[in-house]
Amino acid sequence: MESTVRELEKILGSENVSTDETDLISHSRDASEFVGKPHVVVWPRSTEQVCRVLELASERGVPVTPRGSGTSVTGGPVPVRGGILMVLTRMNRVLEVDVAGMQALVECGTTWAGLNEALSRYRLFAPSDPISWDPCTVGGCVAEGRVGARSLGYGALRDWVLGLEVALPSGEALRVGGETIRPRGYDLTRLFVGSEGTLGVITKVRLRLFPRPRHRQLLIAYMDSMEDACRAVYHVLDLGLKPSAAEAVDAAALEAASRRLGVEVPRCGAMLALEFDGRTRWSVRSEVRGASGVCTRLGGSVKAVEPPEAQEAVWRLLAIAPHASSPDALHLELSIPPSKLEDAIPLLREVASRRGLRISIMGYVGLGQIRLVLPSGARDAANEIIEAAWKLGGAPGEHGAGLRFAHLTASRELQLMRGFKRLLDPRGIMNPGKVFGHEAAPVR
Amino acid sequence: MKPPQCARCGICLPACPTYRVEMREASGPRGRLLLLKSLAEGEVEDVQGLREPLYTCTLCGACQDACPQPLPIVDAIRNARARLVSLGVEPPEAYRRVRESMQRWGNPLGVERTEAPAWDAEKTECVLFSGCVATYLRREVLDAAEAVLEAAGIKHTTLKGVCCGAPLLRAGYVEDARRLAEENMRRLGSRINGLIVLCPHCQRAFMEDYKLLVGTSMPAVHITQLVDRLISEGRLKLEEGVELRVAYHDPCNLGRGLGVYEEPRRVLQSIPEMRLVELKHNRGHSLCCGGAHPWGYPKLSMELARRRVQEALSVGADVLATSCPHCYQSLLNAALHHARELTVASVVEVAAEAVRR
Repeated sequence: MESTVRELEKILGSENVSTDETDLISHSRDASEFVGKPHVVVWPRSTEQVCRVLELASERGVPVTPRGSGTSVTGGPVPVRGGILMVLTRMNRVLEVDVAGMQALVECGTTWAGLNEALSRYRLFAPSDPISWDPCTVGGCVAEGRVGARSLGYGALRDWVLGLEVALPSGEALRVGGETIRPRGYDLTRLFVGSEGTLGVITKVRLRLFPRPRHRQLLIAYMDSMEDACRAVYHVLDLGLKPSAAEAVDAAALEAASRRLGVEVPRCGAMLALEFDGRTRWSVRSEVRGASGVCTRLGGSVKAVEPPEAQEAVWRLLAIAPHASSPDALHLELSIPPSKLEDAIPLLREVASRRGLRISIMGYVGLGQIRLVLPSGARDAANEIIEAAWKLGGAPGEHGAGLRFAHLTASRELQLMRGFKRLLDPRGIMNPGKVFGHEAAPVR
Repeated sequence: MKPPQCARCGICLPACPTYRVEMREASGPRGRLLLLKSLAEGEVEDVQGLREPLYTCTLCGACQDACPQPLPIVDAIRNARARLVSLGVEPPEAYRRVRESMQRWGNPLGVERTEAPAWDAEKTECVLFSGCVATYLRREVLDAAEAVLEAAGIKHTTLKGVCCGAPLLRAGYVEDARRLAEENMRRLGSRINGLIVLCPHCQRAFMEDYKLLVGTSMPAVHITQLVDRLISEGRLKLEEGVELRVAYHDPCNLGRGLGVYEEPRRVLQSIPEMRLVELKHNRGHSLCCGGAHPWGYPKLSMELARRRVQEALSVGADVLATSCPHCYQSLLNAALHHARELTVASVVEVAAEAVRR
């Protein structure tokens, strides 16, 4: 490994390579319970450097784990097989903003907060979730195929990724997709979105942007249960109303978060936040009125939030809700077919309560995207919940499979996926242990 | 001591000034806490290696405001520094020099003592505790404070050249800080009716740290709070117009630390013709200016200050005002290098300008 470190220093400069114990330890975890210490941490600053590092790693059969801000809850950026941990946060430039075409080309380590700050002068924005996505990198989210509250109104992240530059283990920088809304052949961009760093390192992302809305309002509805919150979203959509975002938290998570922020919230089973945006205040208010009616008819009490600071406070509450109750909780994110979510929630609760566990649930209910917060160490219960969710047609949630779901990928798809993996990463150096779990080709 | 248990969610990262510059885990709160956890669990072999991650922290407290728990991160870092010292791991060279300077000159600045503390003054209405930076480096702050107090008719004794001990505590020299706190409390505690400070570090030392160090604290009022009160009571009139756009930088210790956000703004707004503009990161979201550790990491410190100065320029400010002599010094330094068109001043100086003579 020592000679590899020397080679890395030649490629990246010694200031961007570290074998200091402090760097190895501080990069050994994400927000999950998984742990893995790398042998060396590198911070590349260009695609060329990433390519040369991958080429070297391929030659020597050294595992490479890419990492953005490390906010995943599935162990995705945890280097469980050691090797090189590649931190991409220093590749953080917004390279191009095409105002007329409403697109931006960014380096992978750009954070959403940084991107939206850069876009503010053009009256454009990338519809990332406020606050909870702020520290996350664009490349990390694309690699995870992330979904957020605003995916309801603006589509999932994979819908706004027009093209990518990906450094492959061969050392080649591959460009897929481009400035057009449709690619020339197969949609290879989508192959890499959600590939979790197992095929290569996403180095640049071309994103579709949206006009910054002139007006925004949040509707807060205090409902009797998470199921009612799900129902409310379906009825709102059914009425032809177009929320730009929807997110709900149950009573347990709401209580912990509101206690942390020192705000009072009415007693309820769940809090639903529906965001509406648009060109005129009148049109936004009219949508909010429509949604208020729906929530009230379902027994909820409602409050419209108009001042931007007050809206930010609500997003902050939602952002901290998963982590406010316990620092060592087990986070289980699931994608459930949206139409089955209302039935899935009591079923999953039932699985947990059979094991005597109290859990809290939150998520982007209109999209069937939920997070369950379980007590620390409840891995057996988590596996049982995953099994129940799979029977309903579920899939890994917004941070991908990582290590948590690595053993559960469907078998026929797995075969095809393994084929792609072998084609692009024949020596299996890219993020080993993830997605494919123990079935992945061992590093040779 | 067990460090606080962190969920590693990363919500603190955008709030951390040093992480924003270095984009490196060990320079951010989450990485630092993970290192402390590993230390507590006996997993750190090279304890010396912890010095940089722990001492680059500016103790600004922005992370714990952002934290969902919230965890007492600043205390954890301060305690860890003290623990390293107790284990025989000396702080970085620059912090060792702080201690040497304290022992030799009674200030952390490496400046020869030229002020004899007026401990023997008559019992007065109150003491103006000038602190080290305003005594030796930024005398204009002290002069402005004297002028304003005189204009309001506040009788006081000025105590110059005495350190509150905060720099020792930040460096991890708890016992040295404790001895100094005992001495200060013995000399000040029984004989004064009020304590005015120019520096929020001193204010927090008297109001909070002394409680931990020697078991008793002392109420202290910051000059900006006092000026605000004097204006509202009609005892001080700021009548001279100052036609400038002024941005206010919230010092971490005065803002996040003591919750003083509105008083300095009210003082600035009460000055005729002055226009107050807000920096992008203001009040609780304010970012550290690097004034906290100019000794240990001057390059990092300068970069943090440069970013604040840039924010001031981007909102079209003529003046960047603040209420902490450490911030003042740091921002002034950055303005000299990166934004010569920007004037840096303390709020009390601006107020003194507006007192009609």
